[in-house]
Amino acid sequence: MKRIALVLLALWLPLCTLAQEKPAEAPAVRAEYGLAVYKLGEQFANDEKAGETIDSLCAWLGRQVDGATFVRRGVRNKPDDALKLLQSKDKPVAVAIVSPGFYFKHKDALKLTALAEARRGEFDGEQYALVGSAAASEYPQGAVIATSMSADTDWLNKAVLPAPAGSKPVTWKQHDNLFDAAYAILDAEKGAPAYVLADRVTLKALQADADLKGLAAGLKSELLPQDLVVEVDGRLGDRRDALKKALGAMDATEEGRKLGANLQSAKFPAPADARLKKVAALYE
Amino acid sequence: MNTLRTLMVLAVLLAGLGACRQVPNDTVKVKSGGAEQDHTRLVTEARQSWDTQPRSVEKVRAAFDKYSDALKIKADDYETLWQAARAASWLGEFMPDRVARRPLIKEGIRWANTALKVAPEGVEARFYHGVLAGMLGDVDHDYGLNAARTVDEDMRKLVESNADINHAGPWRVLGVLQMRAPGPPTSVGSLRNARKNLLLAVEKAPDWPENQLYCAEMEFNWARERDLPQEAQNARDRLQKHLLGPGARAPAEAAFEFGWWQDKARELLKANP
Repeated sequence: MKRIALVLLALWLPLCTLAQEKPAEAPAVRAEYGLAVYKLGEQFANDEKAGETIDSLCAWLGRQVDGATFVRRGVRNKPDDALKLLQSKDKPVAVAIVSPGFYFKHKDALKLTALAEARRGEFDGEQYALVGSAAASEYPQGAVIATSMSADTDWLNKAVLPAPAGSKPVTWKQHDNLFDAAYAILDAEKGAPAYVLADRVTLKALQADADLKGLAAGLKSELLPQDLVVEVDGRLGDRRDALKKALGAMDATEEGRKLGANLQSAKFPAPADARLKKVAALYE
Repeated sequence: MNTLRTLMVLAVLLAGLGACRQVPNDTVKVKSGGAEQDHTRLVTEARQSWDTQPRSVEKVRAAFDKYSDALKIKADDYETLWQAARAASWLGEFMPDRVARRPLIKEGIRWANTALKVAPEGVEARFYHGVLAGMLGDVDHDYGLNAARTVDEDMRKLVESNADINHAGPWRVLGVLQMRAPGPPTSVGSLRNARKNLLLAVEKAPDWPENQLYCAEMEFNWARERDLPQEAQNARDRLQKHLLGPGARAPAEAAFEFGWWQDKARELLKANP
């Protein structure tokens, strides 16, 4: 009897201690997830200039995904810088928004999983067009083409504008401001490119510019993926689905719409798998 | 006179990324209904504070406060309203404390809005409305994209009607915005268009050193982008002649401002050796 009482006491004591140690309202434990952004060809995509907006994305995601806090690891616009960021072991990145070219190039090495795709300009997928003083109807062999994406020539040559066999490849020339490149064509400036490579949003803006109406859009790329939200090495764990759901419904609330406007993408629905597979094959 | 520090910083917000709050369109609500003679006295004192050279933050702040009190009594005189907005924009440019600038800038926008209600075609009110909108985008990034659009729209209206104010101000402000902002579709940046407008500003008001300062900055950028070293030399010569050399003189109405422009000129030369 005495022994039973001692055992009960022994069992009860720690329970009692636990109960005493537990605060009345314990703060919920929140897991921290690093978030990075790599925007190819966007001169202003860096921490100084875009950090505030990405912080607001992190804060918003933290409110959508139970038990998760998202922290900005960095905003980069050069592929090598982005690679370093995603390879970091000290400050691991769990989720990132990256260019499709970056995804296809590094998806195996970095164990990237595409979770969502941007809808910049509300377009489903990206399609590039060549804009010049005359519409290009076929691959413009040897021509100089202005692009803001010259840092990723793999993307340009494999996916955007692959050279037909035996043809002389085009030369990509970096222009941070594609409108200035278009004006240079219009003004027939010395050293002007022959064409500007315009994405859908830029093309729409070029065509709306009164000064540039004389230029013509010709050859178009295949329909390609836009920027992708990727998970790195399965680090989101059981928060993955909640994150996907939140991103896909970003435009469902006023707050989300405001954020989407700042990010220039109203929402981030699931990526089009067929499109991803088709482009992935070009990288093999 | 004032203008452009804001627009330099404005580009930051436009990175894609500024936000979508609208520049306020509210106007002054007259509450107290004080005496006409008090209004007249306050406006006279405000103008005296503004006109005292060289200007200082304290003097212009005193002018701002007098205008503020006067406009609480009566807010239907276009001249008083745009001059009040001008004082606000000066403080928005030269007050060192960024946080303290914000309410003054918003008040200035309210005065400019009221001036535009009184005189919708008012050139001065349109100009300071645009300048203050740009400043608001600087101190509160939530207004970034809309602020840039507002500056662009206001200055274009003035440029299209060839309305000169503040020593070719519309061309200068539009040019600086175009020089610093990202290109379309995000914003309105274009070095080519900036060049056009800043050269026009210099042509219209060559003796105003602020025009020469921003034109030189554009030339340094143009030299880099087009690989034209002569353009950079033009910029250096321009800064020496109009801002830093022995013959450079402050305009009579801008002794304080001239010192600030000289500092910027030295920074430009340091960044472009």
